[in-house]
Amino acid sequence: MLKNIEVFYFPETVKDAVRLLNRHAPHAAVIAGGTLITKSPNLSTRVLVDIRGIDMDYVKVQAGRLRIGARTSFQSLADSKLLQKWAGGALSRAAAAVTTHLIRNAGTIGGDVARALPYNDMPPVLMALDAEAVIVDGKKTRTLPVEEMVRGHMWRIVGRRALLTEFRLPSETRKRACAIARFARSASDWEAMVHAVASMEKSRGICRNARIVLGAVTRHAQRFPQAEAVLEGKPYSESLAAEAAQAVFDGLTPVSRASAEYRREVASVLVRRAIREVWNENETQQ
Amino acid sequence: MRTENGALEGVENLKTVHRSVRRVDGLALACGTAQFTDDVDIRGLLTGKILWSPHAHARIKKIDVSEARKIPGVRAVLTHRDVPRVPRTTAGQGYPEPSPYDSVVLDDKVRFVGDRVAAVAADSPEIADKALAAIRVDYEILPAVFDPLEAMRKGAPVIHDQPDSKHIADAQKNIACKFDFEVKQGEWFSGADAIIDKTYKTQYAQHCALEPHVTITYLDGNDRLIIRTSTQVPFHCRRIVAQSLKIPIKRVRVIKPRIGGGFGAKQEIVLEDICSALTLATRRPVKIELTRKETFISTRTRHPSVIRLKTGVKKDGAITDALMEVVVNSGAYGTHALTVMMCAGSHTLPMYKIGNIRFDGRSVYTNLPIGGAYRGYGATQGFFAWESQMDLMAEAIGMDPVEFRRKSYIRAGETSPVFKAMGEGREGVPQTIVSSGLFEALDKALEAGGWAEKRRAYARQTGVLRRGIGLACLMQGSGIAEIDMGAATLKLNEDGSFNLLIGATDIGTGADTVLSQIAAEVLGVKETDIIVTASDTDVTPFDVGAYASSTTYISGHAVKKTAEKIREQILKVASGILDEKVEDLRLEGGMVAAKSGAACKLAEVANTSLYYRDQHQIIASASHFSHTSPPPFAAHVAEVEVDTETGQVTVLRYVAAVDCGTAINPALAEGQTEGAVLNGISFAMTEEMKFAPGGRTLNGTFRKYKLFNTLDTPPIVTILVPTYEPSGPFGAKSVAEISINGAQAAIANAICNAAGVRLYDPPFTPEKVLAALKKRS
Amino acid sequence: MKPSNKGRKSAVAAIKVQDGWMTVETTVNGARQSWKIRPDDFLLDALRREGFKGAKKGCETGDCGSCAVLLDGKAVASCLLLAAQSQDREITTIEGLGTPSEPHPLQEAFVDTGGIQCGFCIPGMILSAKALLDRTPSPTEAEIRRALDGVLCRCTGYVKQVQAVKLAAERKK
Repeated sequence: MLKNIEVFYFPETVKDAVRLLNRHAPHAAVIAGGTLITKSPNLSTRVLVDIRGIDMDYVKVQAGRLRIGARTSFQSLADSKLLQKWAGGALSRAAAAVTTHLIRNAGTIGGDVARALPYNDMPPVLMALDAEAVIVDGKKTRTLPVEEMVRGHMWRIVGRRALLTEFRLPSETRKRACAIARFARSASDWEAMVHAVASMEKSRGICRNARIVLGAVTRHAQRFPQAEAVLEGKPYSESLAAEAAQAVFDGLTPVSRASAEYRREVASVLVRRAIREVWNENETQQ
Repeated sequence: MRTENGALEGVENLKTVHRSVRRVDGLALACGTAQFTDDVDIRGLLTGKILWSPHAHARIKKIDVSEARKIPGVRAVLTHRDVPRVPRTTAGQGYPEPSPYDSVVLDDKVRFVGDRVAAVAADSPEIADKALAAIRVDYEILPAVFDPLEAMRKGAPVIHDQPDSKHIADAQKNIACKFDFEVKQGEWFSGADAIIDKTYKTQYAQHCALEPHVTITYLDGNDRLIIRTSTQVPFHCRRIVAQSLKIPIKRVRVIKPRIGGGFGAKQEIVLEDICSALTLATRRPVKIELTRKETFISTRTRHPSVIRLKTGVKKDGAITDALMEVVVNSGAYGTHALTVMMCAGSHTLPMYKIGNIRFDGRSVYTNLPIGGAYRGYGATQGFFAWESQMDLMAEAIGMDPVEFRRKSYIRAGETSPVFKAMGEGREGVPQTIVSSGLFEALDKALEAGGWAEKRRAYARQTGVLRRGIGLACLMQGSGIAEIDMGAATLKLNEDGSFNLLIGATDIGTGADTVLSQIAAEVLGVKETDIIVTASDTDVTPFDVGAYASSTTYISGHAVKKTAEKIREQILKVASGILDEKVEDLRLEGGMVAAKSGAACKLAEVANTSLYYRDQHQIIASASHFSHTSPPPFAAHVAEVEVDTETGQVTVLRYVAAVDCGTAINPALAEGQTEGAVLNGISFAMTEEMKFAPGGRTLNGTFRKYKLFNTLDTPPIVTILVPTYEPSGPFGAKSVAEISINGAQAAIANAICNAAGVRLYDPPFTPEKVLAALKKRS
Repeated sequence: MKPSNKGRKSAVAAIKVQDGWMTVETTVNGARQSWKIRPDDFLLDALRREGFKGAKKGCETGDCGSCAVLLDGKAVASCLLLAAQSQDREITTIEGLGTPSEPHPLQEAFVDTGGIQCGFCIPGMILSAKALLDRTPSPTEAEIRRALDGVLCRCTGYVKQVQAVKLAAERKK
């Protein structure tokens, strides 16, 4: 419970927000959609910084790069026509698959990455598309790969002392083919058992820049370079996809929640299917 | 008696009954103006909270509430020393209840993680939490047991060792209840060509009514205890609270507001006794509102079961022998322990023609959450076993599973020895099937499910995704014969409207509407001319409450009888007004009409009787109980797709054909069926309460225990198969429970058809299915 | 307290807590509200305390949707949001749609198809449907199911509820 709150701020600029977070650190926290923070007991929070007035809700292309404001809701991502054309629409599909509509309307992509619970939907697909997060910490602005963000210690300061403002995807990811798979006990289940994402460029029948990312099975979303290496520079075949899937199976140590062995098995099946789906995607998409 | 187009004589000419009229409370619910228990603001309301046990089995050696009582704003703290010790059952059943008297309001022993330890009432929820935290309990931890088979063995900890309990079958062996019966027609299994011996296990599940349990109690100006509560059983509640707190019944009034679902979890005195105790201690209004987690753990659950079915079958399809051994996990207390266990047999066995029958039932205590009434009530567990076994038997003799079923099921005009042998916790009532649409439902379900084509199409599949189709047929009861009773009162108002006072309990089922339709039909008015007051123990006559699928069949008949008495009174007054013979008069369209063409409005009759001459209130009451419990029947067909690489099973389509006699309101009957079907499907696919080794519930939240949402729900096709049950009002039987019973078997049969593996332990999670597939290959 | 404009020197809009209470200005069903709340009050509790009993409490984890209301036209779980987050926003509750004497077409449609049994999920269900129809006047069944996927119902199997939304959409044409 957030019992000890003394003040709510409603800044309208990133600068003001960060200044407030710094001034009140370590007792300040960012509130965006509000779907995660309100239920996490933290008696030390005394200041809440509501960022709804800051211009961080956008999907745009600038200098070829895709820029997504951290405060963009899952539903906005799902609806974005621009996003539906980027990497075959993988990001908007991932956002549309977030459970449920009440969360899609309020939760944000920034919140999903900043508090990266193992089963969150966006980190795997962001990682598969080489996304970077922009973090403003005091006077410094840092850009670091989402992969590093979810794995490292940034979570300690993002949303508390620093503000995650946007995600950037390199221009070359626009033409990537990308397939996502989500395996859960039911459609009503927030906590997916497995996320599998496969993306690559297909040039002249050859796979390039493969990315294989699993989510929900390990503590953080995880790339599998060993599986990517199997595909790199080769033409697609069922047996190649199976080999890559086997590399995932061998390299995966599921975090010890229930059914670890089962999830390893399903993860490798989903990877194989995702690779097949990516390869069969219509190449004249863009 | 069926007419050419399928409609039933006597039903096709009805004006209100057998029409899908709008719910009489529909707009209030749609507009958010209907008042549920917590939708009132009461001045001076205290928050009541309960301290739950952290241990599965322990004695309370010492409980010190002195610090808690000192906290400002804490108005009462109750322990076992502060409340009467009256062993009783919390089961909402007719008196004397067939459940063991093994619980008290607060005890000096705890028997599961989540059992009651103490209760507080305070000015606010925060202060109540502080009070709970300040209570110091010295526990003597005892060994605990979680498996019913282990609990029955020598040396297992005795969960109910208190000397003052009553009606426990064998407390030393933790057997709450047992029941055996046998019908022997020849040597066991001597005539069988094949013997199938399988054990089926069903899991812990929770009702998950969207409204958690909530109760408000207060004293009125005459010091009477008023209980406003989310209950299915207001009259049993009044009686059991009075009994538990040693106050006279006349001092207690129970009021049922709108209820957000019950499904059996509220056929129980869960909060009303302890909340009342807090009101008596403080003389203040008190509200106890359980969280979703507390509702999962500390209310009631569906009894898990282990059912061994050993059956013998001849090549010609006759079932020669059936041995049914049922062990039901009662949890820490024995509420509904006998009756649920018996219904696993009494509401399944009669459907089959069997030679030798033996039923062996045990309800066993364990240190786990309490099993209680849950829609289907044992038949759900029983049919998973039986309708799975039907497929196995058919396979063993090389007979088509549909043909086998046609040979085996009871028909109209037939009886079963089980009806007499097994009642509700006691010997039953013999009966013969009068109305049966079972075979027609079977035909319709098979047709709507595309059975024949699909069985052919799915016979030889080679891909990763395999499809299959499975069948289950079902019965249930309509009220409890010679036990359940309902009553009604009707009175006429000046404008020709009526007040209908019914004890019957609408928990979302639409009872208020159905009963209004029945009254309106007899009185020749619209159901919107009937004003319903329900379930107030001071005002409405007695009714057992919403369970055992009794409302339409029993309470509905009481309403019909009451309306017929009113009709007589109306016609008598009208005959004076119109100067016509009573025999020449009828009620129609809000009027009294004579054969001669003369007519007068009901309003005129009302004003005459109230104001003009021979003044009297046109009012009547009637009660009803039945000597029979005519079964509704159903046939369900499930189509599934199995992903053989992940084990994921998707239900593609589900067909439910139901014979409920006359559907008083077809749309409501369909709605009951659709909801029950979906609950059955998620019970087959995902729902399961899980426990840590020490007995703590692991997944008591909607985050971890998943119900199906709109996207999970497969297309559900509902077909009402009309029959006419002469003992029911306008030919009606029941519909409320039966359709939750089919999914586990229908889906298990479909999975077997799809992928060649049979599962005996739902839920059919992808993990289990994949493991079974791997084992097979 | 209206947020001030984006001047470099102007103060950031803030609501302070005094003696454990704070004041939030919001709009519910078109009417301005000034609520005295605790900082950690959830929106659901504040709404119910202020008389909007149509929003129901079915769980504590945002999983059941009985508490759903519209926030600036979008369906959200009011049990997850802090009451303070409703500052300067527009909330629509079921009471704002219609009354038994003058029901909204969606309310009428749900009654007509039989999509209401116990009614506990209905405010959340109808508000979610309204948000859908406001954006997508002729939704497909798949779109309807997706737009309602956060409201759980244990009574109806959703069959007649989906039909109700289709019916309401039909009637609006």
